[in-house]
Amino acid sequence: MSRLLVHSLDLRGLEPPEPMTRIIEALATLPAGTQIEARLERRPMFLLEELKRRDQNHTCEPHPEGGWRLTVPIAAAP
Amino acid sequence: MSKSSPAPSQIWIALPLFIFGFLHLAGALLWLGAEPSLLTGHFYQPRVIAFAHVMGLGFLMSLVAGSSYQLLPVAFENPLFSRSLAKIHLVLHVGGVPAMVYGFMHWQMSVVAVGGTAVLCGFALYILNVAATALRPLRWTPTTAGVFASLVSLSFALGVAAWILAAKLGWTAVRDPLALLGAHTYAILIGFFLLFLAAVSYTLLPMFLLVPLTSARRAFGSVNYFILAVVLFIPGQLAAPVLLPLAALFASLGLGLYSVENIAAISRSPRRLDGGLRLYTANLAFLLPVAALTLFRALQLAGYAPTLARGLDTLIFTLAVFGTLTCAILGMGAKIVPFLVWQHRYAPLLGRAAVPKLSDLVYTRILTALAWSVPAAGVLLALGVATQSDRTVQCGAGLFCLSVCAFLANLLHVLSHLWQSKEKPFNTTKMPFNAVAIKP
Repeated sequence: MSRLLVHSLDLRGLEPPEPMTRIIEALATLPAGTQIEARLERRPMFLLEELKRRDQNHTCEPHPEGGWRLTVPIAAAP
Repeated sequence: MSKSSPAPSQIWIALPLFIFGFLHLAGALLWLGAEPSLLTGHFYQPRVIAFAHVMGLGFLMSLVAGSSYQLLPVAFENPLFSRSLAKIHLVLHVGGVPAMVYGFMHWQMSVVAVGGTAVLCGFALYILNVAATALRPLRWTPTTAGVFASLVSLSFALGVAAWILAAKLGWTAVRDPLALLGAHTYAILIGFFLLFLAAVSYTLLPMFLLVPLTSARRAFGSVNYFILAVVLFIPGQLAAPVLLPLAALFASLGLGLYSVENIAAISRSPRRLDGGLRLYTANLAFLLPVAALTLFRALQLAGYAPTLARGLDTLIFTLAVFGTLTCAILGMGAKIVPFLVWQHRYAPLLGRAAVPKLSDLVYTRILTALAWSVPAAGVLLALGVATQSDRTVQCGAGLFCLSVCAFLANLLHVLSHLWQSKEKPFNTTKMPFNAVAIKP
Protein backbone atom coordinates (compact mmCIF):
# COMPACT_ATOMS: atom_id res chain seq x y z
CA MET A 1 0.00 0.00 0.00
CA SER A 2 1.43 3.44 -0.94
CA ARG A 3 1.73 6.04 1.80
CA LEU A 4 -0.06 9.38 1.59
CA LEU A 5 1.67 12.51 2.87
CA VAL A 6 -0.85 14.86 4.44
CA HIS A 7 -0.04 18.53 4.95
CA SER A 8 -2.44 19.95 7.54
CA LEU A 9 -3.24 23.64 7.72
CA ASP A 10 -5.45 25.33 10.29
CA LEU A 11 -6.46 28.56 8.59
CA ARG A 12 -9.13 29.67 11.00
CA GLY A 13 -8.71 33.20 12.31
CA LEU A 14 -7.00 34.53 9.20
CA GLU A 15 -8.25 37.57 7.30
CA PRO A 16 -9.18 37.00 3.64
CA PRO A 17 -7.41 36.41 1.28
CA GLU A 18 -4.69 34.87 3.50
CA PRO A 19 -6.24 31.34 3.52
CA MET A 20 -6.32 31.37 -0.30
CA THR A 21 -2.71 32.56 -0.48
CA ARG A 22 -1.43 29.90 1.93
CA ILE A 23 -3.25 27.01 0.25
CA ILE A 24 -2.23 27.90 -3.30
CA GLU A 25 1.37 28.59 -2.31
CA ALA A 26 1.44 25.23 -0.51
CA LEU A 27 0.02 23.66 -3.65
CA ALA A 28 2.87 25.14 -5.68
CA THR A 29 5.68 24.11 -3.35
CA LEU A 30 4.70 20.72 -1.84
CA PRO A 31 5.81 17.57 -3.66
CA ALA A 32 3.45 15.58 -5.87
CA GLY A 33 1.62 12.86 -3.95
CA THR A 34 0.99 15.13 -0.96
CA GLN A 35 -2.53 15.98 0.12
CA ILE A 36 -3.39 19.35 1.65
CA GLU A 37 -6.03 19.21 4.37
CA ALA A 38 -7.09 22.68 5.48
CA ARG A 39 -9.53 23.70 8.16
CA LEU A 40 -11.36 26.96 7.47
CA GLU A 41 -13.79 29.22 9.28
CA ARG A 42 -16.17 29.60 6.33
CA ARG A 43 -16.60 28.07 2.89
CA PRO A 44 -13.81 29.62 0.78
CA MET A 45 -15.89 30.70 -2.20
CA PHE A 46 -13.15 32.57 -4.08
CA LEU A 47 -10.53 29.87 -3.41
CA LEU A 48 -12.92 27.24 -4.77
CA GLU A 49 -13.33 29.36 -7.92
CA GLU A 50 -9.55 29.65 -8.25
CA LEU A 51 -9.01 25.89 -7.77
CA LYS A 52 -11.69 25.21 -10.37
CA ARG A 53 -10.04 27.67 -12.75
CA ARG A 54 -6.75 25.78 -12.34
CA ASP A 55 -8.52 22.42 -12.93
CA GLN A 56 -7.29 21.38 -9.49
CA ASN A 57 -9.19 18.47 -7.87
CA HIS A 58 -10.54 19.29 -4.42
CA THR A 59 -13.35 18.57 -2.00
CA CYS A 60 -14.86 21.00 0.47
CA GLU A 61 -17.27 19.77 3.10
CA PRO A 62 -18.56 20.90 6.50
CA HIS A 63 -16.24 19.95 9.37
CA PRO A 64 -17.99 17.96 12.13
CA GLU A 65 -16.72 20.44 14.75
CA GLY A 66 -17.78 23.53 12.78
CA GLY A 67 -16.33 25.39 9.84
CA TRP A 68 -15.20 23.66 6.66
CA ARG A 69 -12.60 21.07 5.65
CA LEU A 70 -10.88 21.49 2.29
CA THR A 71 -8.92 18.60 0.82
CA VAL A 72 -6.62 19.18 -2.15
CA PRO A 73 -4.60 16.22 -3.51
CA ILE A 74 -1.48 17.24 -5.42
CA ALA A 75 -1.17 15.03 -8.45
CA ALA A 76 2.14 14.23 -10.15
CA ALA A 77 2.84 16.38 -13.19
CA PRO A 78 1.77 14.56 -16.40
CA MET B 1 -0.62 21.90 -12.59
CA SER B 2 -2.83 22.88 -15.45
CA LYS B 3 -4.10 26.33 -16.19
CA SER B 4 -5.97 28.58 -17.27
CA SER B 5 -9.59 29.07 -18.18
CA PRO B 6 -10.86 32.68 -18.03
CA ALA B 7 -11.19 33.96 -14.47
CA PRO B 8 -14.87 33.89 -13.43
CA SER B 9 -14.40 36.96 -11.25
CA GLN B 10 -17.24 39.28 -10.21
CA ILE B 11 -15.01 42.27 -10.94
CA TRP B 12 -16.72 43.36 -14.17
CA ILE B 13 -20.11 43.38 -12.43
CA ALA B 14 -19.26 44.84 -9.02
CA LEU B 15 -16.56 47.33 -10.05
CA PRO B 16 -18.66 49.27 -12.60
CA LEU B 17 -21.44 49.53 -9.99
CA PHE B 18 -18.94 50.84 -7.42
CA ILE B 19 -17.48 53.41 -9.82
CA PHE B 20 -20.97 54.49 -10.93
CA GLY B 21 -21.89 54.93 -7.26
CA PHE B 22 -18.77 56.89 -6.29
CA LEU B 23 -19.25 59.26 -9.24
CA HIS B 24 -22.86 59.87 -8.16
CA LEU B 25 -21.68 60.66 -4.64
CA ALA B 26 -19.09 63.13 -5.96
CA GLY B 27 -21.71 64.71 -8.25
CA ALA B 28 -24.27 64.95 -5.44
CA LEU B 29 -21.78 66.68 -3.14
CA LEU B 30 -20.75 69.22 -5.78
CA TRP B 31 -24.43 69.91 -6.45
CA LEU B 32 -25.10 70.29 -2.71
CA GLY B 33 -22.18 72.70 -2.34
CA ALA B 34 -23.59 74.84 -5.14
CA GLU B 35 -27.20 74.57 -3.96
CA PRO B 36 -27.37 74.04 -0.16
CA SER B 37 -31.13 74.72 -0.17
CA LEU B 38 -31.46 71.10 -1.32
CA LEU B 39 -31.16 70.24 2.38
CA THR B 40 -32.37 73.44 4.01
CA GLY B 41 -35.48 74.00 1.86
CA HIS B 42 -38.75 72.06 1.65
CA PHE B 43 -38.26 68.45 0.57
CA TYR B 44 -41.21 68.12 -1.83
CA GLN B 45 -39.61 69.88 -4.82
CA PRO B 46 -38.42 68.40 -8.14
CA ARG B 47 -34.74 69.20 -7.55
CA VAL B 48 -34.77 67.81 -4.00
CA ILE B 49 -36.43 64.62 -5.17
CA ALA B 50 -33.86 64.37 -7.99
CA PHE B 51 -31.06 64.92 -5.43
CA ALA B 52 -32.49 62.26 -3.09
CA HIS B 53 -32.45 59.79 -6.01
CA VAL B 54 -28.86 60.68 -6.94
CA MET B 55 -27.87 59.78 -3.36
CA GLY B 56 -30.30 56.90 -2.80
CA LEU B 57 -30.30 55.20 -6.19
CA GLY B 58 -27.15 56.49 -7.86
CA PHE B 59 -24.83 56.20 -4.87
CA LEU B 60 -26.22 53.93 -2.15
CA MET B 61 -28.13 51.40 -4.28
CA SER B 62 -25.23 51.04 -6.74
CA LEU B 63 -22.79 50.29 -3.95
CA VAL B 64 -25.20 47.97 -2.16
CA ALA B 65 -25.79 46.06 -5.40
CA GLY B 66 -22.05 45.90 -6.17
CA SER B 67 -21.32 44.73 -2.62
CA SER B 68 -24.10 42.18 -2.83
CA TYR B 69 -22.67 40.47 -5.90
CA GLN B 70 -19.27 40.22 -4.24
CA LEU B 71 -20.14 39.71 -0.57
CA LEU B 72 -23.38 37.77 -0.44
CA PRO B 73 -21.98 34.60 -2.05
CA VAL B 74 -19.39 34.64 0.77
CA ALA B 75 -22.04 35.33 3.42
CA PHE B 76 -24.42 32.64 2.08
CA GLU B 77 -21.52 30.25 1.34
CA ASN B 78 -23.05 29.62 -2.09
CA PRO B 79 -21.89 30.70 -5.55
CA LEU B 80 -23.76 33.56 -7.19
CA PHE B 81 -26.88 32.16 -8.86
CA SER B 82 -26.39 33.97 -12.18
CA ARG B 83 -23.70 36.32 -13.46
CA SER B 84 -25.80 36.98 -16.56
CA LEU B 85 -28.72 38.32 -14.49
CA ALA B 86 -26.26 40.53 -12.59
CA LYS B 87 -24.85 41.90 -15.87
CA ILE B 88 -28.37 42.70 -17.15
CA HIS B 89 -29.09 44.42 -13.82
CA LEU B 90 -25.92 46.47 -14.21
CA VAL B 91 -26.96 47.66 -17.68
CA LEU B 92 -30.55 48.48 -16.63
CA HIS B 93 -29.35 50.31 -13.52
CA VAL B 94 -26.66 52.36 -15.26
CA GLY B 95 -29.10 53.29 -18.03
CA GLY B 96 -32.15 53.88 -15.83
CA VAL B 97 -30.82 55.98 -12.94
CA PRO B 98 -29.60 58.99 -14.98
CA ALA B 99 -32.91 59.03 -16.89
CA MET B 100 -34.86 59.02 -13.61
CA VAL B 101 -32.75 61.83 -12.16
CA TYR B 102 -33.13 63.91 -15.33
CA GLY B 103 -36.89 63.27 -15.32
CA PHE B 104 -37.24 64.35 -11.68
CA MET B 105 -35.13 67.48 -12.20
CA HIS B 106 -37.29 68.63 -15.11
CA TRP B 107 -40.45 67.06 -13.66
CA GLN B 108 -41.02 65.02 -16.81
CA MET B 109 -42.83 61.99 -15.48
CA SER B 110 -42.72 60.16 -18.81
CA VAL B 111 -38.89 60.21 -18.64
CA VAL B 112 -39.04 59.10 -14.99
CA ALA B 113 -41.32 56.26 -16.11
CA VAL B 114 -38.84 55.06 -18.75
CA GLY B 115 -35.85 55.22 -16.39
CA GLY B 116 -37.90 53.89 -13.49
CA THR B 117 -39.05 50.87 -15.49
CA ALA B 118 -35.42 50.01 -16.31
CA VAL B 119 -34.39 50.42 -12.66
CA LEU B 120 -37.41 48.43 -11.45
CA CYS B 121 -36.69 45.56 -13.86
CA GLY B 122 -33.02 45.66 -12.81
CA PHE B 123 -33.93 45.37 -9.14
CA ALA B 124 -36.43 42.58 -9.86
CA LEU B 125 -33.48 40.64 -11.36
CA TYR B 126 -31.30 41.61 -8.36
CA ILE B 127 -33.90 40.34 -5.88
CA LEU B 128 -34.32 37.09 -7.83
CA ASN B 129 -30.55 36.59 -8.10
CA VAL B 130 -29.84 37.27 -4.41
CA ALA B 131 -32.75 35.12 -3.20
CA ALA B 132 -31.78 32.24 -5.51
CA THR B 133 -28.15 32.48 -4.32
CA ALA B 134 -29.28 32.21 -0.70
CA LEU B 135 -31.49 29.20 -1.44
CA ARG B 136 -28.86 26.84 -2.92
CA PRO B 137 -28.92 25.52 -0.16
CA LEU B 138 -30.37 27.80 2.51
CA ARG B 139 -28.28 28.28 5.68
CA TRP B 140 -30.38 30.21 8.16
CA THR B 141 -28.15 32.86 9.77
CA PRO B 142 -28.88 36.44 10.95
CA THR B 143 -27.37 37.62 7.64
CA THR B 144 -29.68 35.44 5.54
CA ALA B 145 -32.75 36.41 7.59
CA GLY B 146 -31.91 40.11 7.40
CA VAL B 147 -31.14 40.07 3.68
CA PHE B 148 -34.41 38.25 2.91
CA ALA B 149 -36.40 40.75 5.01
CA SER B 150 -34.61 43.67 3.33
CA LEU B 151 -35.48 42.24 -0.09
CA VAL B 152 -39.16 42.16 0.92
CA SER B 153 -38.92 45.81 2.03
CA LEU B 154 -37.19 46.75 -1.21
CA SER B 155 -39.96 45.05 -3.21
CA PHE B 156 -42.55 47.00 -1.24
CA ALA B 157 -40.70 50.31 -1.68
CA LEU B 158 -40.36 49.73 -5.42
CA GLY B 159 -44.07 48.86 -5.63
CA VAL B 160 -44.99 52.09 -3.81
CA ALA B 161 -42.69 54.07 -6.12
CA ALA B 162 -44.44 52.55 -9.16
CA TRP B 163 -47.81 53.45 -7.62
CA ILE B 164 -46.77 57.08 -7.04
CA LEU B 165 -45.48 57.30 -10.59
CA ALA B 166 -48.68 55.81 -12.03
CA ALA B 167 -50.64 58.47 -10.12
CA LYS B 168 -48.40 61.25 -11.47
CA LEU B 169 -49.01 59.96 -14.99
CA GLY B 170 -52.77 60.02 -14.31
CA TRP B 171 -53.21 56.25 -14.58
CA THR B 172 -54.51 55.87 -11.02
CA ALA B 173 -55.64 58.04 -8.12
CA VAL B 174 -53.79 58.53 -4.82
CA ARG B 175 -55.50 60.06 -1.81
CA ASP B 176 -52.36 61.23 0.00
CA PRO B 177 -49.18 61.26 -2.12
CA LEU B 178 -47.05 62.60 0.77
CA ALA B 179 -48.04 59.64 2.95
CA LEU B 180 -47.05 57.27 0.12
CA LEU B 181 -43.76 59.13 -0.30
CA GLY B 182 -43.15 58.72 3.46
CA ALA B 183 -43.90 54.98 3.26
CA HIS B 184 -41.53 54.67 0.27
CA THR B 185 -38.75 56.61 2.04
CA TYR B 186 -38.94 54.74 5.36
CA ALA B 187 -39.29 51.33 3.67
CA ILE B 188 -36.08 52.08 1.75
CA LEU B 189 -34.17 53.75 4.59
CA ILE B 190 -35.03 51.46 7.50
CA GLY B 191 -36.46 48.37 5.82
CA PHE B 192 -33.82 48.07 3.14
CA PHE B 193 -30.63 50.08 3.73
CA LEU B 194 -30.32 49.92 7.53
CA LEU B 195 -31.56 46.34 7.77
CA PHE B 196 -29.25 45.25 4.92
CA LEU B 197 -26.34 47.02 6.62
CA ALA B 198 -27.05 45.27 9.94
CA ALA B 199 -27.49 41.89 8.23
CA VAL B 200 -24.29 42.11 6.21
CA SER B 201 -22.31 43.38 9.21
CA TYR B 202 -23.02 40.08 11.00
CA THR B 203 -20.82 38.35 8.41
CA LEU B 204 -18.50 41.15 7.34
CA LEU B 205 -17.31 42.32 10.75
CA PRO B 206 -16.51 38.86 12.19
CA MET B 207 -14.66 38.05 8.95
CA PHE B 208 -12.45 41.15 9.09
CA LEU B 209 -12.19 41.45 12.88
CA LEU B 210 -11.27 37.75 13.19
CA VAL B 211 -13.86 37.03 15.88
CA PRO B 212 -17.01 34.88 15.78
CA LEU B 213 -20.42 36.54 15.98
CA THR B 214 -20.63 37.39 19.67
CA SER B 215 -24.37 36.63 20.02
CA ALA B 216 -26.48 35.08 17.25
CA ARG B 217 -29.53 35.66 19.46
CA ARG B 218 -28.83 39.40 19.62
CA ALA B 219 -28.22 39.54 15.87
CA PHE B 220 -31.48 37.70 15.12
CA GLY B 221 -33.20 39.99 17.65
CA SER B 222 -32.10 43.11 15.81
CA VAL B 223 -33.33 41.69 12.49
CA ASN B 224 -36.69 40.82 14.06
CA TYR B 225 -37.08 44.33 15.51
CA PHE B 226 -36.33 45.86 12.10
CA ILE B 227 -38.97 43.61 10.51
CA LEU B 228 -41.55 44.62 13.15
CA ALA B 229 -40.67 48.28 12.58
CA VAL B 230 -41.24 48.05 8.83
CA VAL B 231 -44.46 46.07 9.24
CA LEU B 232 -45.82 48.83 11.51
CA PHE B 233 -44.34 51.83 9.64
CA ILE B 234 -46.21 51.05 6.45
CA PRO B 235 -49.80 51.06 7.80
CA GLY B 236 -48.71 53.85 10.15
CA GLN B 237 -47.66 56.06 7.25
CA LEU B 238 -50.61 55.19 5.04
CA ALA B 239 -53.57 55.03 7.41
CA ALA B 240 -52.94 54.80 11.16
CA PRO B 241 -50.32 57.30 12.47
CA VAL B 242 -50.93 55.96 15.98
CA LEU B 243 -48.79 52.94 15.01
CA LEU B 244 -45.79 55.09 14.13
CA PRO B 245 -44.32 55.55 17.66
CA LEU B 246 -44.36 51.78 18.18
CA ALA B 247 -42.74 51.28 14.77
CA ALA B 248 -40.05 53.85 15.63
CA LEU B 249 -39.49 52.15 19.00
CA PHE B 250 -38.90 48.80 17.28
CA ALA B 251 -36.57 50.46 14.74
CA SER B 252 -34.61 52.01 17.64
CA LEU B 253 -34.36 48.63 19.38
CA GLY B 254 -33.12 47.07 16.12
CA LEU B 255 -30.49 49.79 15.72
CA GLY B 256 -29.54 49.47 19.41
CA LEU B 257 -28.95 45.70 19.22
CA TYR B 258 -27.04 46.14 15.96
CA SER B 259 -24.77 48.71 17.66
CA VAL B 260 -24.22 46.52 20.73
CA GLU B 261 -23.32 43.51 18.57
CA ASN B 262 -20.88 45.56 16.47
CA ILE B 263 -19.26 47.15 19.53
CA ALA B 264 -18.92 43.72 21.19
CA ALA B 265 -17.21 42.36 18.06
CA ILE B 266 -14.82 45.33 17.92
CA SER B 267 -13.93 45.08 21.61
CA ARG B 268 -13.17 41.34 21.32
CA SER B 269 -11.12 41.63 18.17
CA PRO B 270 -7.43 40.73 18.51
CA ARG B 271 -6.50 43.09 15.67
CA ARG B 272 -6.23 46.85 15.36
CA LEU B 273 -8.88 48.43 13.15
CA ASP B 274 -7.53 49.54 9.78
CA GLY B 275 -8.74 52.70 8.00
CA GLY B 276 -11.52 50.94 6.07
CA LEU B 277 -12.91 49.28 9.20
CA ARG B 278 -12.69 52.55 11.17
CA LEU B 279 -14.67 54.32 8.46
CA TYR B 280 -17.19 51.47 8.44
CA THR B 281 -17.65 51.50 12.22
CA ALA B 282 -18.01 55.32 12.30
CA ASN B 283 -21.59 54.67 11.14
CA LEU B 284 -22.41 53.63 14.72
CA ALA B 285 -21.91 57.19 15.98
CA PHE B 286 -24.94 58.39 14.01
CA LEU B 287 -27.36 55.69 15.11
CA LEU B 288 -28.38 57.23 18.44
CA PRO B 289 -29.50 60.58 16.92
CA VAL B 290 -31.19 58.75 14.02
CA ALA B 291 -33.13 56.53 16.46
CA ALA B 292 -34.03 59.41 18.83
CA LEU B 293 -35.19 61.73 16.05
CA THR B 294 -37.17 58.99 14.29
CA LEU B 295 -38.93 58.28 17.59
CA PHE B 296 -39.65 61.99 18.14
CA ARG B 297 -40.89 62.42 14.55
CA ALA B 298 -43.19 59.42 14.95
CA LEU B 299 -44.62 60.94 18.15
CA GLN B 300 -45.20 64.20 16.24
CA LEU B 301 -47.00 62.44 13.40
CA ALA B 302 -49.18 60.57 15.89
CA GLY B 303 -50.04 63.88 17.58
CA TYR B 304 -48.22 63.15 20.87
CA ALA B 305 -45.41 65.73 20.48
CA PRO B 306 -45.31 69.38 19.42
CA THR B 307 -43.93 70.51 16.05
CA LEU B 308 -40.81 72.40 17.10
CA ALA B 309 -39.27 73.08 13.73
CA ARG B 310 -39.69 72.10 10.13
CA GLY B 311 -37.19 69.93 8.35
CA LEU B 312 -37.07 67.06 10.86
CA ASP B 313 -37.57 64.51 8.05
CA THR B 314 -34.64 66.09 6.18
CA LEU B 315 -32.50 65.98 9.32
CA ILE B 316 -33.24 62.27 9.78
CA PHE B 317 -32.49 61.71 6.07
CA THR B 318 -29.19 63.62 6.39
CA LEU B 319 -28.02 61.75 9.49
CA ALA B 320 -29.05 58.37 8.10
CA VAL B 321 -27.79 58.86 4.53
CA PHE B 322 -24.73 61.13 4.90
CA GLY B 323 -23.84 59.80 8.35
CA THR B 324 -24.63 56.15 8.95
CA LEU B 325 -25.00 54.79 5.43
CA THR B 326 -22.23 56.77 3.74
CA CYS B 327 -19.67 55.87 6.44
CA ALA B 328 -20.69 52.22 6.35
CA ILE B 329 -20.82 51.91 2.59
CA LEU B 330 -17.60 53.83 1.90
CA GLY B 331 -15.91 51.70 4.57
CA MET B 332 -17.28 48.57 2.94
CA GLY B 333 -16.12 49.85 -0.46
CA ALA B 334 -12.65 50.51 0.96
CA LYS B 335 -12.43 46.81 1.86
CA ILE B 336 -14.21 45.28 -1.14
CA VAL B 337 -12.68 47.16 -4.11
CA PRO B 338 -9.05 46.26 -3.23
CA PHE B 339 -10.14 42.66 -2.75
CA LEU B 340 -11.86 42.63 -6.16
CA VAL B 341 -8.73 43.98 -7.84
CA TRP B 342 -6.41 41.68 -5.89
CA GLN B 343 -8.55 38.65 -6.72
CA HIS B 344 -8.68 39.52 -10.41
CA ARG B 345 -5.05 40.52 -10.84
CA TYR B 346 -3.10 38.45 -8.32
CA ALA B 347 -5.08 35.31 -7.40
CA PRO B 348 -4.20 33.69 -10.77
CA LEU B 349 -0.50 34.42 -10.06
CA LEU B 350 -0.46 32.78 -6.60
CA GLY B 351 2.08 29.98 -6.47
CA ARG B 352 3.83 31.38 -9.55
CA ALA B 353 4.91 34.82 -8.30
CA ALA B 354 5.23 36.72 -5.01
CA VAL B 355 2.14 38.90 -5.08
CA PRO B 356 1.48 42.07 -3.04
CA LYS B 357 -0.58 41.80 0.13
CA LEU B 358 -4.07 43.26 0.13
CA SER B 359 -2.91 46.09 2.41
CA ASP B 360 -0.20 47.00 -0.16
CA LEU B 361 -2.92 48.02 -2.62
CA VAL B 362 -4.29 50.93 -0.57
CA TYR B 363 -3.06 54.24 0.86
CA THR B 364 -3.55 53.41 4.54
CA ARG B 365 -3.04 57.04 5.69
CA ILE B 366 -5.79 58.29 3.39
CA LEU B 367 -8.22 55.70 4.70
CA THR B 368 -7.33 56.56 8.31
CA ALA B 369 -7.90 60.27 7.59
CA LEU B 370 -11.23 59.47 5.91
CA ALA B 371 -12.39 57.67 9.04
CA TRP B 372 -12.38 61.13 10.70
CA SER B 373 -13.23 63.49 7.86
CA VAL B 374 -16.31 61.66 6.50
CA PRO B 375 -18.14 61.51 9.86
CA ALA B 376 -17.09 65.12 10.56
CA ALA B 377 -18.59 66.21 7.22
CA GLY B 378 -21.78 64.28 8.07
CA VAL B 379 -22.01 66.12 11.41
CA LEU B 380 -21.52 69.50 9.68
CA LEU B 381 -24.27 68.73 7.18
CA ALA B 382 -26.63 67.67 9.97
CA LEU B 383 -25.82 70.87 11.91
CA GLY B 384 -26.53 72.91 8.78
CA VAL B 385 -29.90 71.22 8.34
CA ALA B 386 -30.78 71.54 12.04
CA THR B 387 -29.95 75.27 12.08
CA GLN B 388 -31.22 75.86 8.50
CA SER B 389 -27.80 77.37 7.69
CA ASP B 390 -26.81 77.28 4.02
CA ARG B 391 -23.21 78.23 4.91
CA THR B 392 -22.80 75.28 7.33
CA VAL B 393 -24.26 72.90 4.73
CA GLN B 394 -21.75 74.26 2.21
CA CYS B 395 -18.88 73.70 4.68
CA GLY B 396 -20.09 70.12 5.23
CA ALA B 397 -20.41 69.54 1.49
CA GLY B 398 -16.92 71.00 0.96
CA LEU B 399 -15.34 68.72 3.56
CA PHE B 400 -17.27 65.80 2.10
CA CYS B 401 -16.01 66.70 -1.41
CA LEU B 402 -12.40 66.76 -0.19
CA SER B 403 -12.92 63.39 1.50
CA VAL B 404 -14.45 61.87 -1.63
CA CYS B 405 -11.55 63.25 -3.73
CA ALA B 406 -9.13 61.52 -1.34
CA PHE B 407 -11.25 58.36 -1.53
CA LEU B 408 -11.14 58.50 -5.35
CA ALA B 409 -7.33 59.03 -5.28
CA ASN B 410 -7.06 55.86 -3.19
CA LEU B 411 -9.44 54.12 -5.60
CA LEU B 412 -7.26 55.09 -8.58
CA HIS B 413 -4.21 53.76 -6.75
CA VAL B 414 -6.03 50.45 -6.18
CA LEU B 415 -7.23 50.29 -9.80
CA SER B 416 -3.72 51.02 -11.10
CA HIS B 417 -2.88 47.38 -10.24
CA LEU B 418 -5.26 46.32 -13.01
CA TRP B 419 -2.96 47.74 -15.69
CA GLN B 420 0.34 47.79 -13.76
CA SER B 421 0.87 44.44 -12.08
CA LYS B 422 3.37 44.53 -9.19
CA GLU B 423 4.26 40.89 -8.57
CA LYS B 424 7.85 39.72 -7.96
CA PRO B 425 9.62 36.41 -8.70
CA PHE B 426 8.42 33.55 -6.48
CA ASN B 427 10.95 32.21 -3.96
CA THR B 428 9.94 28.65 -3.02
CA THR B 429 12.77 28.18 -0.52
CA LYS B 430 11.22 30.68 1.91
CA MET B 431 7.92 28.80 2.28
CA PRO B 432 7.22 27.90 5.93
CA PHE B 433 5.36 24.61 6.47
CA ASN B 434 3.60 22.83 9.28
CA ALA B 435 4.56 19.28 10.21
CA VAL B 436 3.75 16.71 7.56
CA ALA B 437 1.74 13.74 8.83
CA ILE B 438 1.76 10.35 7.14
CA LYS B 439 -1.42 8.40 6.44
CA PRO B 440 -1.20 4.73 5.56
